[in-house]
Order: sequence, then C-alpha cells, then structure tokens
Amino acid sequence: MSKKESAWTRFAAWVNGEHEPAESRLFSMGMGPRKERRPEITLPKREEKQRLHGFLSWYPVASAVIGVILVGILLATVLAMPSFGQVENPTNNEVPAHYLQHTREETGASNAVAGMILNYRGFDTFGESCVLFLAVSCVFILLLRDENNTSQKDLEQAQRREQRRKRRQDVILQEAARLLSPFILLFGAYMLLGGHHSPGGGFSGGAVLGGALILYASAFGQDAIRRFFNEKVYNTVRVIGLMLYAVLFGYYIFTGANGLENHIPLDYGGLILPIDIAVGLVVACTMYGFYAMFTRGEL
Amino acid sequence: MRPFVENFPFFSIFLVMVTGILLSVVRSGRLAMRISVAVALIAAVLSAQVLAYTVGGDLSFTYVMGKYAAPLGNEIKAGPLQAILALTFCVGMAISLLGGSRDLERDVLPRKQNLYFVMSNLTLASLLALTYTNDLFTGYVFIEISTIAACALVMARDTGPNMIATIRYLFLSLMGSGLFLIGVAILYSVTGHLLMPQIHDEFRLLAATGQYALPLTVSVGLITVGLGVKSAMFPFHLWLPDAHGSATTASSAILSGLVLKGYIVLMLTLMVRVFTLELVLKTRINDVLLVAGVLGMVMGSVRAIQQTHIKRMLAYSSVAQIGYIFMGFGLGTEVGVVASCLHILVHACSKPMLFCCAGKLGDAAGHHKNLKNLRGSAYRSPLAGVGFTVGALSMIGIPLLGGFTSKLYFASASLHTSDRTAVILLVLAVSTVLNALYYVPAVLAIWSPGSEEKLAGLPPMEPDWGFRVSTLVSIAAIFALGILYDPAINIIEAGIRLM
Repeated sequence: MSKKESAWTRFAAWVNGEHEPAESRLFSMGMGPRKERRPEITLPKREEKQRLHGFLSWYPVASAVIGVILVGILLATVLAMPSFGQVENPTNNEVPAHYLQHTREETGASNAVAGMILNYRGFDTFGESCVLFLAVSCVFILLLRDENNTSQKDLEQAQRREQRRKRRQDVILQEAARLLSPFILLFGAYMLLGGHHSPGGGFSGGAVLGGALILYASAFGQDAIRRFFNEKVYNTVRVIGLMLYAVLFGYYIFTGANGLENHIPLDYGGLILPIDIAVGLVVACTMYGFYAMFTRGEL
Repeated sequence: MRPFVENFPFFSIFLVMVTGILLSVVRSGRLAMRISVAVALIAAVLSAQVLAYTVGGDLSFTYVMGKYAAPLGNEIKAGPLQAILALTFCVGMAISLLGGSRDLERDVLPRKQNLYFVMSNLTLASLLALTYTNDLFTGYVFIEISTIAACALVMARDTGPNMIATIRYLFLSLMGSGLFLIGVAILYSVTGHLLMPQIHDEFRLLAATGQYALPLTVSVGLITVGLGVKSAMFPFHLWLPDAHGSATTASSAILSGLVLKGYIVLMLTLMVRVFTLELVLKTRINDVLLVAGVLGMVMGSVRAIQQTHIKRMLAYSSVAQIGYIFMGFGLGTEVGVVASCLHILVHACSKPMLFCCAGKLGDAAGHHKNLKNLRGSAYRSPLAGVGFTVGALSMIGIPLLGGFTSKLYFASASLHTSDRTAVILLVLAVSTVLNALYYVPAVLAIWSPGSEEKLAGLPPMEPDWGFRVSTLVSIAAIFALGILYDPAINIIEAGIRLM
C-alpha cells in the first residue's frame, strides 16, 4: 500500500467518522489499528501511569526550584514591607481607631474584635460560617454511610468494633468524661454568651461545645449520644444556627442600607449576642460532625 | 431611602445562600432540584431588573452590607457589567442543572442528592458575591466557599478516578487561594484598607510616590497568579481535564461554564477598579497574562485534539477558551477587556450546553463517552445533536453564532495595540483552525450513521423536558449573542466605564 493511498483512506475514514480524532494522529504515529477493547477504562489508566512516571521524575527538582524562588520573593517583600506594630504603619489608620472608639455605642459590644467581625464585617463572617457548614456537608457527601456504598463486611466490622468497645469499657475515660463534660459544656456556653464583652465568642465557644460532645461520644459511644443528639436534631440545630444568622443579619443589612430604623436593642451586646450563639451552634455541629463522620460514617 | 431595586443584588445573594442552607434538610433529591432551579430563575429575574435599572439610568451603585459605610463595613457594588454577569450565572446554573438532571439522578447516591444541591446553590451564591463584591476580603471568603463547593460537585459522583481528580483539584485550588490570601495580606499591610475604592486611592498614591513598590508589585502578581491557578490559566490547568471530564454532567457544566468565570470576574474587577489598567501595564503583569493566554489558546486546543473522551475534549477546550479571556486582559486596553467580557458571556452560554449535550449523546449511545462509540448517537437524540453542533460551531467561530462575535472583537482589540497585532491575529487564526480540528470530527462522528446492531439493543430514549428547555434556551442565547451583539457590547462598555 502506497503512502498516498493510506493517507487518502485515512482521510476518507475520518470524513465518515470511522476514525476517532486521536487515530488521525497529528502529533504521534503508529497507533492506528490497535484498539483497546474497553477504551473508557483502560485508556485513562495507561495515560495516568505514563503521566505519573513523567511527573515523578521532574517533580522534586521543579518543586524545590519553585519553592526557593517563592521564598526569595516573599522574603524580599517582607523586608520592604512596613515593620510590624509601628505607629506610623498604613494599617494604623482611621479604621481601627474608629473601631476602638465607637464599637461600644454603635454595636453594643465592648469587645472591639467581636464588634468588628460580627457587626461591621458581619457579612464576611456569615460567609465563614457557611464555609464550616459546607465543609461538614462535603464530608457527608464523602463519608456518609449508605446502603449503596457499604458492604455487608463493613457493617459487620463496625458492629464487631462496637461490641469490642462495649466489652472493654475504659473506666478512666468514662469517669473523666462524666465529670468533665458538664463543666466543659458550661464553659462553652459561658464563652458563647460572654463573647461580646470578653475574649471568646461564637467560634471559640462553639469549638469548646463541640469538644465536649466529642469527649462524651468517645467515652460512652455513639449510641449514648444519639439518645439526645441524633441526625435529625443535628441537622435542625445547624440549620437553625445559620438561619438565625442569615435572618438577623439580613434584617440588619436591609435596614442599614435603606437608612431605616432597626429595632435591635444595643443592651446586652445587641446583634452580637444572638449571632454569637448562632455561630457557636454551627461550629459545635461542625466539630462533632467531623468526628462522627470520620469515626463511624454516621451520626 | 434608596430605590427598592437597589436591594436586589443583596436579595439574590441571600436568597440563594439561604436556599442552599435549607436544602440540607430536604429529603427528596428531585424536590431539591426543582427548588434550586426555581431559585436560580428568581435570582435571574432579580438580576435582570438590576440590569434594566443600571442600564436605564447609566449608573452603578454601592450597597452597604450593614449599617456602617466603607471603609468600616462590607459593601457590594452593582453596575451594568455586574448585573449582566449575574444574570448569565443564574441562567447558566439553571441550564446546567436542568440539562444534567437525568445523569445526576443516576450518578449521585439518592441520600446525598440534596447535599449536591446545597453545593450547587452555594456555588451560585459565591459566584454572585464574587461578581458584586466591593471588598477584597469578602472576595476571599467567597473564593473559599466556591472552592469547597466546587470540589464537592466533582466528588459527588462516587468513583475512584473522581476522587483522584477531586484531590488534585483541591490541592491546586487551595494553592491558588493561598497565593491570593498572601497577596491580599501584603496589599492590606501597605494600603491599610480592604474596601476596593480605598485601596484604589492608596494604591494610586503609593504608585505616584514610588513607596512600597516591591510589595505592591508582588501582591498584584500573587493575586493574579492565585486567581489564575483557580481559573485554569495555562500552566496551571492540569487539574481541569480530570475534574471536568469525569464529574457528573451537571457538575462539568457548572464548573466549566460558571465557576472558572467567578475568579476571572474578580480578577477583572481588581484590575479595572482597584489597580486600574494603566498601573497594571506598569507592573507588566499583563504581559504574563498575555503569554499565558496565548499559550493556553494553542496548547489547550492541541491537547483537545489528542483526546478521545468527549468530555475531556470539552474540558481541554475550556482551557483554550480561558486562554482567550486572559489574552484579552493581557492586551491591557479597555477594548481588550470588553472583548474578554463578551467571551465570558459567550462561553458561559455555550459550554454548559455542550457538556449537557455530550452527556445526553453519551446516554443515547449506551453510556459511552468515547467519540468512536458516539457514532450515530445524534440520530437517537436529535436535539442533543443539534445543540452540540451549534455549540461546537460557536466555539470554532462561525458567523451568526456567539463565538464569532467575541473572536471578531478580540481581533479588533488587537488592532489597538502597537506592537502585538500581528502575533495576536496569527494566534487567533491558528487557534481557530485548531478548534475546528477537534470540534468538526466530533460533530461528524455524532452525525455519521452508527452501526445498526450496536444501537438496536439500546432502550428507547425517554423524553427529558428539562434537557430540551435548557438546550433550546442556550441555542437561543448563542444566536442572540451572535446576531444581536450590539446591546451586549453596549452594556459591557457601560459596565467597564461605571466599574
């Protein structure tokens, strides 16, 4: 077969759609007639292997070079930047001064940080709370146990693990948990409720609450905690938390932007206190959700 | 008391976010899907009203997100450009969900379908917020949201290759976020502000005095590269083909058509509103963008030619199309930016449809995605075939279709630069030929008669009204952008002017 003929037949085949485009190879040769039987599965695998091989050969060198260059650039930048904590720094302008002076009368919080993140820049913090909510939802998508992704063997294994745990209960852990959990919960609640005039607030208080739940669950098992904190309660709590934030702050934005009077009293922390509680609920649920998903794959 | 319509950007962001949150307690996947589509359409109507208001009054407005105005609190800003982008994103989301609904029901486990729509809604909310934001840190927060949500959209289809693709996407995406955050931190420490107008004033002052020149340049560079990594700028595109190629149809459509654009729009806002084009020209970041864009246009197409998997081919085509957008930015002129914006609209209209049609054609050929096996599939699902053909021809740049208009504008924008006209015209021509080299065989393959015995055994196609509506709407949008492009151009020009 002459070369011209083969080019022609190949072209005709291409027009008829009998060749897939990669077979009319523009950039490599000699792969024509060999066809994979199950191209959809085998082809990516082979490509993957080749790519991985190529990748591993240059990866260490390239990453070191890029890392060194980036470090050099950033170090040079840091040296040229204003030094930390000086009075004449650009960051030390009218904005922090305003926060420090007026937070109390404008937001009702004496903790300027709480006033700043939950009132002046509350929209950002709403976004951050949604990030936590999303993160735990992602872990649900990934790990939530389902009849479609769990084999009988997995279930039996989980049951065996549970039984083993019941047989050999850890007395020290249980007694400590029994003693400590109420105090940790109390401390978490205190941090939530006092966030507007002392260090603390939704994020740290919620983390403490979540920690108490995790301690309790790891000492007494998932069944014990499921008596008062099952999937339904869990979903309700975290959705109520975020909705509380959304509704309160949405109202605040709407009235603020339209120049209307908002009827939020500034005593007891004004908007900050309920939003701190809302954020705390979300954070606690996020912490506990991660623990439950990664240990057992169910709530 | 401001006009009521000025509340609509805020309403649309909050509406979509709150819907996303509430959907996590909706049990039925189908119900969640209907609610999501309805909410996306409501947000589209709200955005259309904002568009009519801002274009009618030739104005843009800032909206305080709280009681205390900038520089103390968060702000959003809406003008014609933001409104038309928001409208496109909302409609694109509805189209992607409708067009991919059948595949979604099959690919995502029933118990997790509502979580999928949580992700899709929060993706839309983050896109809207990235479009409207007037605050750099709000931008970062919503970048985080869209990163996480987009990864979840990829991994919703629970298969091994998908997990690998998700991990790769997550790592590169987080690196992009990290670079962006470092850039924002540097910018904040030398300007002392996070709100865009205030940063702009300080930036201009510093550029005039020459103080902090190195940190400013580095921060502009880091922000650009960070957003570039996340939007698959050429050398950083490696995550894209896997993530977009293996995900379920709706996810591919959303990621390729919309999510990439969110970061690009933020970059555009920063370049025009904060750094201003003339100062960007001085830092020479735009040259980097130009080179990356041109390389992406060529290399994306070359890699697309080598693909046999139709969705991977479309994914590489996205790399090429993103290259066009960055090339427009790289010109550093207003006309270049206008052409890029038009291309964002065109690509956001055609890519979701191409992915949905590819998914449908794959169904018609018995769940094959390989081009060879797709032969004859267009006869079993004619609308998908027509949609794919129209989308492909638009991507190639055939007159009367949207892709032609944007390429025409890129070409005319290149005439405004002194020394680069020849290179850009040449690359445009080469890349058009390359586009044709992979889209034409794909179109020929789906329309050439397939083997009877292979297709005979397949069950008949069920009617899929969601898919039909979404494809028809997209085709109409592509023709509208190709024939009646004047209004779109006017809106974009006004939007850039009123940025």
